[in-house]
Amino acid sequence: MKAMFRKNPLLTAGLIILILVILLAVLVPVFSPYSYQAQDVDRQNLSSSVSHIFGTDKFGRDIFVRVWYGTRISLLVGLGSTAICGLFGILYGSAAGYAGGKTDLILMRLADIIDAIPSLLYVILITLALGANVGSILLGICISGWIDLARIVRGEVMRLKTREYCIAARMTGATAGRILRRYILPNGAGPVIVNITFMVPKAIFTEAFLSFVGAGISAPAASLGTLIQDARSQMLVYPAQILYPILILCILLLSMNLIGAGVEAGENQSEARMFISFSQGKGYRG
Amino acid sequence: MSLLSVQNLSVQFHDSYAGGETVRDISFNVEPGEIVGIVGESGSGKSTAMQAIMGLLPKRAEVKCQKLILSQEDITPPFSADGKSAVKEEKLYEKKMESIRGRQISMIFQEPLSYLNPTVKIGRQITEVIHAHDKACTRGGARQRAKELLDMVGIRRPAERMRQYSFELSGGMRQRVATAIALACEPRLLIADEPTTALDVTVQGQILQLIKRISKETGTAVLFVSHDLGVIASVCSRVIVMHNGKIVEEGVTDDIFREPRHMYTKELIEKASHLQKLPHSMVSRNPLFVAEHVTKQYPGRINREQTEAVNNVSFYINKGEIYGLVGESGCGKTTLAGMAAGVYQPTKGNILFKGVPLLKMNRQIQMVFQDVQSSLNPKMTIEDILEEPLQLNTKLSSEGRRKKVIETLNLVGLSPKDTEKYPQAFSGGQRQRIAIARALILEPELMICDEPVSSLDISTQEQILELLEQVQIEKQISCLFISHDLNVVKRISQRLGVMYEGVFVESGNTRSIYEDPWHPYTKTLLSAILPPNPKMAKRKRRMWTVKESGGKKLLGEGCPFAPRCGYAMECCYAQSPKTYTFGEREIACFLYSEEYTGKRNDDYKMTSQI
Repeated sequence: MKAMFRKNPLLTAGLIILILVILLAVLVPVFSPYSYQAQDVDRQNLSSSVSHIFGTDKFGRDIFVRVWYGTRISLLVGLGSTAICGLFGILYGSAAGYAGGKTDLILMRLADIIDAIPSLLYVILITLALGANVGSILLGICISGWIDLARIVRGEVMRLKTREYCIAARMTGATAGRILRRYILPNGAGPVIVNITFMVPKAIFTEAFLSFVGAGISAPAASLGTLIQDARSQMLVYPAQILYPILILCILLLSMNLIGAGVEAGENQSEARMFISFSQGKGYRG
Repeated sequence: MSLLSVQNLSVQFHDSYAGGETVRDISFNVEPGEIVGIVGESGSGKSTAMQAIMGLLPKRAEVKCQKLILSQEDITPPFSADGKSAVKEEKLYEKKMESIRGRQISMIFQEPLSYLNPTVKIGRQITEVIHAHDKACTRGGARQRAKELLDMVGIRRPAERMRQYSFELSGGMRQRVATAIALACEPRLLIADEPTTALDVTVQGQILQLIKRISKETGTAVLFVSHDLGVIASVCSRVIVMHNGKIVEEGVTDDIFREPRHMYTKELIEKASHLQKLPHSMVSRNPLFVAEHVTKQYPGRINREQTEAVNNVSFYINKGEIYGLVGESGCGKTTLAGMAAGVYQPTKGNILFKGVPLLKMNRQIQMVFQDVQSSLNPKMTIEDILEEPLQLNTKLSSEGRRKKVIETLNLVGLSPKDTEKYPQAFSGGQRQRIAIARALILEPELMICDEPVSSLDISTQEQILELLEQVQIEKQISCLFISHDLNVVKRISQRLGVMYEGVFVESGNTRSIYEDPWHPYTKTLLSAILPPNPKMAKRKRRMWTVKESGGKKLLGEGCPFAPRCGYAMECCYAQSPKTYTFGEREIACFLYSEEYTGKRNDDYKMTSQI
């Protein structure tokens, strides 16, 4: 474990930042004396101080608490949508890739049809219909978010299912589910995992964007996007108010991208190592 | 004065994952115009040494060489003890090597398909090399030279071929083109790194003759790297034997083969001549597996034309017998194996297993595959791999399963300690043992071995063949043994079938076929075997010349072998021959038809017509 972290500084840095962000997002709203929605007319637009680390906004709400509360929502949307899309994409892609033929054709064309409509449109339509809350944003992102992953999984499954170990397993009577679970998915996990790690920042960004343009989470709940939007009106007077949520959003996205890049690098490294050991005949030696 | 003189060459990889010296302190000379063979198993450092001479190794390889002289020019790679050699020296060396590579030394590689650029026409690829080394050459001149080169390597109608892409050519043709590119600037030294390993035996003979002829005509010295002693014996005048990165023996080919001094060389030669043995045991006729007029068609992409991978094949396998199946790549062997295993269904015809039609996979039929890299799941331990079939098919307790796993591992010659390891931890031969163990663990009655030894070294090959033989005798398992290598098949099988383009051209007792081939194609295959014995290689008359199958085959009309056959008659092109049966021997050739040999009585004894 230790060696892995030393070898992969990208992944290590990303994980450390992410864990810090998660801890702050969970703990700050719990232990802070301020609530994310309590307004205080006496304390409007304060600048940073010991009692209000990031200052207060135009309604006198504590920005520090609101930022971390917003991070919670961003994380929830990012990780939640990735979990749902990842699970569904893997199942759908494996089914299409393993079955092949007509089933594959129908499943993949269906996915193409869903993918033909821009994903933002889905989110906007669903928030209009079901109200602007976390659930509808999650649903909106998940409607078409799994398709790219399903395509990748399908490709991997198609590539691996003709491998000789899969044929051998079929000859000994292993079922399709068993072959997928034990033979195909573990061997095709690399590109799938890399793709999944990049889905998280994408979803977080989508949510922030939607909230910024006003189609996302509605007041008084806060997300990083709405915080930026709220602060925008007095950006020239109180630039700090817009700076803090942007900074946290940047750190969050950076950590996610670092993790993704780290996983990808690790994947290439292990492949390179395999290639080298084969090309030098190390794999053959007794 | 030697052409190339190598003194104390060592190569070391400074990697976390490939430590140790790959080439250890080797020295040798190459005289002008001679063919020197370098023989050794994979991993013995042959290729690495050649690449070090060419200066083609990556930066992380540390090349240490006292002196490397190519026709009085010093091309010693720079080396400094602390691992970081001076940048300036490196650059100078690289610059010098650029002018030497291609012009003085050039190389032919194993796989011509990946060596030739598939998006550039053959002609351009040759003229490119000519231009790179001779800036003054005009376009017309270069094209003329390319034509001459293609003509020299034995490609007919060179002007036409120059406009083709590499994927339009057959394997042998590609290797000829690669040779033409290597010869473009009249190098003094040609390094051929396993140039025939990826080719069929009949084509292998032609390429070897080509290299020999070119060396004689142009006076080019050749460094011929191969793991195949037969190949070395038939082309090289001198041999260098490498083992674990060191030269263990060096000398004139005849001497080395007659009286090898080093233990390792002895072992290699003994293993290789083992393959020349013939099996003896006979089995009584008691068919376990029968294929009746089996045909497999694949729908074509263009014009909905059907391509036939296997066409009207009939054979049977007796209980407790090893049946060999030989044929070139692409002749439908693997398709037939797939049908025999129940993986796909034949389009026409029946496959009977124990008298019952085989409609899906049967646990009593198991398979061993060619590619040792992809036949075992890299994410499962050996125990998991072997235990799974038992879990799925038997009601044994976990203890019972473990016992069975260990028993089977012992049977294939592996230690029970290895059960916790992953397949990466094993060598090619060991992996093949594990694959055999997996096939055996359910105690099948028929085992299908699809080229089980083709990706292994000679010495490992022999071990695996011995293992298969021993297991087969011990367990009385029947075996369908498929290979492109007639040597291997005749070593192990009691009866065999020869396949050509989806058709069985000859089948019968291995011994009688080997001693007296009837079909012209079988004869070609047999004459292409290279014995690991330079005397025999010299005595052997010129190999049966067959044209390479270049054009498209005509479906359903004529004997598939007719365009390459020296005995082709008019009727061979008009209709396909029936299968004629003479006792054990079955043959599909018009030479044995009644029209050709005349009416025969019941007690007529047929002999070879060729």
